[in-house]
Amino acid sequence: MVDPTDKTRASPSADVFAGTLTRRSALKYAIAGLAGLACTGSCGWLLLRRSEAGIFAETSGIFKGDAPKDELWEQWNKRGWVREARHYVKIGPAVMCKLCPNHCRLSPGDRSRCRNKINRGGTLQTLAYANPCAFHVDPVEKKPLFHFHPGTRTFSLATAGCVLRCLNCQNWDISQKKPEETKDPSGQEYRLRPDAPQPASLDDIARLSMFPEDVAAMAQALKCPSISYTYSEPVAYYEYAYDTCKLARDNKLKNILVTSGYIEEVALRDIAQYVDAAHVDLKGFDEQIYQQLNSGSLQPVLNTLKTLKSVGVWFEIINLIVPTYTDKEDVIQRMCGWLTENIGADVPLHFSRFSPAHKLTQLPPTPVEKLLKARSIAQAAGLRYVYIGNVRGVEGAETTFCPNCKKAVVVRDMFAVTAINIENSRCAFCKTLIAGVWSDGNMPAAAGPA
Amino acid sequence: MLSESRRLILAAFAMGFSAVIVQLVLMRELLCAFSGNEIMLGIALGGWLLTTGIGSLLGRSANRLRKPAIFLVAGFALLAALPIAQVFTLRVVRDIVFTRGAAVGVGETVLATLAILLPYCIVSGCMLTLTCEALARYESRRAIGRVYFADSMGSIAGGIVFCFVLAGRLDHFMILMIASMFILLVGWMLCFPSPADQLPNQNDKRPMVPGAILTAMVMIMIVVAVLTDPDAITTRLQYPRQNILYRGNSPYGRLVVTETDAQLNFILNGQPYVSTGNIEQVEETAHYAMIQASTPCKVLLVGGGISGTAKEILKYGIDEITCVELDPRILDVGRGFLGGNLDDPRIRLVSNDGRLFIKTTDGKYDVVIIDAPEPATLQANRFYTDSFYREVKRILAPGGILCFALGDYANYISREQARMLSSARRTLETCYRNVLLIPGGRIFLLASDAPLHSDIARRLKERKIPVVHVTHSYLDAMLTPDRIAEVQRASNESAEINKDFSPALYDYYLRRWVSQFKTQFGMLEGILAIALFTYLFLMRPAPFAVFASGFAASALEIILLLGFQVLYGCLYNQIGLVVTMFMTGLAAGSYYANRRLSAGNRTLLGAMMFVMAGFSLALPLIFVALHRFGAAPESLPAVRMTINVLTLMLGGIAGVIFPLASQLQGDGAAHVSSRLYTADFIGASLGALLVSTLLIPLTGITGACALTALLNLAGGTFVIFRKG
Ligand code: SF4
Repeated sequence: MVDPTDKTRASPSADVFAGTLTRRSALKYAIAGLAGLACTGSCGWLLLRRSEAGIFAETSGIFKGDAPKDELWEQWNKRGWVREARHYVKIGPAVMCKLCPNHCRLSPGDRSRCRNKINRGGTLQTLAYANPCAFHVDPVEKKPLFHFHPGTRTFSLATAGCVLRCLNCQNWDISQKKPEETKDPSGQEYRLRPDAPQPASLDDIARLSMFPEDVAAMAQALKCPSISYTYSEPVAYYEYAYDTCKLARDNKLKNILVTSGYIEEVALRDIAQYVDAAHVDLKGFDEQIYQQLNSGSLQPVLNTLKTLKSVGVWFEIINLIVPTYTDKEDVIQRMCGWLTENIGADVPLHFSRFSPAHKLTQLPPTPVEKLLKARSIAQAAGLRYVYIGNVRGVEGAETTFCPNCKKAVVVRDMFAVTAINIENSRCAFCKTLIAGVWSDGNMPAAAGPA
Repeated sequence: MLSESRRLILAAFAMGFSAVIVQLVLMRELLCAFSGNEIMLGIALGGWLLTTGIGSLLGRSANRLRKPAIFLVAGFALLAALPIAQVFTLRVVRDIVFTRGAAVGVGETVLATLAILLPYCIVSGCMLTLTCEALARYESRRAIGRVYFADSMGSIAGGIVFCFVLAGRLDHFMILMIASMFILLVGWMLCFPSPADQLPNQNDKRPMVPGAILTAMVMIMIVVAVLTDPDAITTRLQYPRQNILYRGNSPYGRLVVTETDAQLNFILNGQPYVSTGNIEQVEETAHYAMIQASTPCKVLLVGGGISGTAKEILKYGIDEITCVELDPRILDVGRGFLGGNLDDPRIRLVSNDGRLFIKTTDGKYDVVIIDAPEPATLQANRFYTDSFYREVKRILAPGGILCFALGDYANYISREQARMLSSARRTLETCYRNVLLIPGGRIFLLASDAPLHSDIARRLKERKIPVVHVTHSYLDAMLTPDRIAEVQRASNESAEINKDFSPALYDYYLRRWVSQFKTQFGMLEGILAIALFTYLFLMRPAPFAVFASGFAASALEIILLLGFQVLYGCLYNQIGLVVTMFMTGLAAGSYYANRRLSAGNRTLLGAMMFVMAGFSLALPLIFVALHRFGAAPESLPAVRMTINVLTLMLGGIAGVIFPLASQLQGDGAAHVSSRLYTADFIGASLGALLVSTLLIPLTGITGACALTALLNLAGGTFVIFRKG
């Protein structure tokens, strides 16, 4: 049926459709087919590899060969914005950071997952030192810490970088950036100290340095009895936080860590010697969701809570309820049960309302009803101090009630404290001990979530 | 019975009809699945055109087929079945591959979009070439031009039917089913030989029995599948652990209302739009602006009316508040679920484009609050430009106040965000004497010629306005000297003024948005770029001409649509009309070229390319003129007319070029048509992608038009001076 004179008709495709196949064309098809498969396969593979938090969420996530070089490095170094890291090991020319459970293993020239550390010539160096990109004077209630010197102000600061990758990070403009994206080491050195001119432009903010002694001096000048390491993640600027904590302690200032708790125990114990209070973000009670939403894991955070308790640092816990993810009531119940059992009923727990941010923009905000339910679950589990944050118009959401006489002992409105009925760490009405750090320095014996 | 060639023409028509409907549905689905900004639109449109182009390239070997009819019928069955399967897959697989609720980066979006579009587009591209080939057996040279014409006519019909009949009434699966049924009927018809015709090719036996069985089976499958209500099933999968109270379509998009613990969530095109119990949103939007004026009596609220802001504003004892909402469906559904937020005689609801309303109203308002989406699209950017602010000023009573929010501020303002704030502030300052930034939960910008007050807490107390959220302590905590200094510093950064046709703010917004994701240029992008350059380099004059005109057609159409939205408004029936004008021009142009123009006229083709270049150069000038002289409400109909005529002309020019080029290419229908279609699709896809995501934000429409003109000049020169 095939006309042998018709060249086009005798072409390979016609062979296929006519059911006859020469060896040459068979080979051709095989190759074409393989090429097609390879193409599709590699596209698919690339897609899955790159889908940042899907089923194939990346686990290592370091930045290969991304360390700053040449002039940038020189300038950075000259500014004093570089320090050798703490808590790491050398493995030949490579290094492994032992600070947080990510355990970044970096070859020379690589940048860590938290973006702040690099392997430079076989040593691990941090780029986040003395170069905060955000600093404010905040009420301590904003951290939120409700049982720690209420009504005082705290000098708060942060550098770029974070050990986690939360999809709903409110501070992604700093936490998911490299130090070089927030700071500028060129031009004249500018150290921010109480007697120096205050920053007038974003350029000034980008250029300025604040060494540990400057931070302490600023806090004192601004009449802040404490310093908070917050906004992004102090674990990511551990060395800076560590030195500042030490110096602040010498200057009779308190230190507050606002952290995800994603840190190795040794490193935590090391810094905890100088820390007075912590605020730990327990992002849920489900390993899988921790991985999916935060690219982290739950167990290390639970361990941090236990460690903090054992070293006697006062701390409070926040739990953000993300609708359809961390809002399962049985999981909340398990979490509260674990807390009562392992940490104690005195640890304050703040439930917080989610609102769409960063990448997690396709979920609705948390319903107030859900937060109320969570509060009753926590109370039923025996926790004595349960709060609801980020909501307005809910009766007693931010009030501390005496666990014994149920009267309001600390009343707050937003970040302001409107009434304190605590005397010598005790309820002014029934004299029950209220857990917390209420007056300067003398932590009551039973305090510390013990 | 229709003659064979008529049937093939009908087939081309049906393909155009179905393609446009499938395209509109899939674009919306992609928008819902990923993100609703212009980058997504560009990717979806570009991906669509690119994959169809590849499909038409694959159709190349069609001239080797002995029985194109069988393939046509089988292809039709696929065209009917695939879209439904693809939408189903997209909805189900989206949250398996990516994280539910989270936006997806640009690179991943591109790959996923290509993967989702690929099956239908490849087949439909192939089928275009195949139809040309089949028709060429009857009428040789003119085949390509005629198929092109019929395909365009089909798209016009499909677009109109979608916009005016289907979109507001049916869910996406039902809509696709209707397109599929049409395609299958035509496919079924192709199975039977037409007695009127002497078949020129005796080998072409009609696949009567198998073809008929196939089409019938697919038809039944589709009906059964759609009867199981896949929309309900997939919506439940998309919103797990939420009660679905309502799901529906409007011409503007897909609306789903869900309930989570007594909270109602309105989800518009996949993004949360309004949730009940969101006091901070409502109070901040209402009070910062309202507390400024001493005796406000008339208020205009653009967007967000159903959220309860209107009700909140009533606390000020005003005479009347007008709420403008673009999508009438949102008002209807909002009234149904949140009637309490709207039932007051002083609240007047208007369903209209906010900008068009402001242009045309003759009311005067003391306070104008714009609760529009962030400037993530050119469409939304219209509410942040200098011309818009001037238009608002026209309707403000003396000393009246304009207020809107832009971005939020937790603890840090990045340089990218600072540039946005600064651009907005500078743009406001082009026509208002005073501008005030309020760093609340979001950053609010207020503008007025009268003095503005930042002592909001005191004023609220004085006027005894009951508030739950913006209390004294809240304002104390948010409006600290520290935070105010920071937004001041930020808004002093250097930044460009945001203009309609050179949207600086939109550019800044997109850059910041993209910076959330890891973007790396990897192997894949490299290979694609090299492939594209090789392809362009090896192109012969006729395909290059088609490539350039395809680029121009889609680039300039986007620009014309933007111009229309800016100068007129964004009502769907009007926009639909503009798109229809383009397709009509295209059809008319190709009809004329098919019938009237002498074949193989090289100079004529070159000349048409120059006309296209001239047209793109003239466009920015025309826009400037329209902007200047068309500002008065009376001249709006003239503006609308002008843009419609311009679009018609654009379609006409592009429509003439394609058949002219096809006649220049000579014989071998499948070969030629595949080449030309591919060039057209790839040109159009690049045009769509580059213009909306790169050229307009970076160079404004002038730059985009200049580049388009350059490309067409080059094309024309190439055609005239090079043989082959
Ligand atoms: S602190 Fe940073 S460098 Fe160290 S392991 Fe964690 S992410 Fe890696």
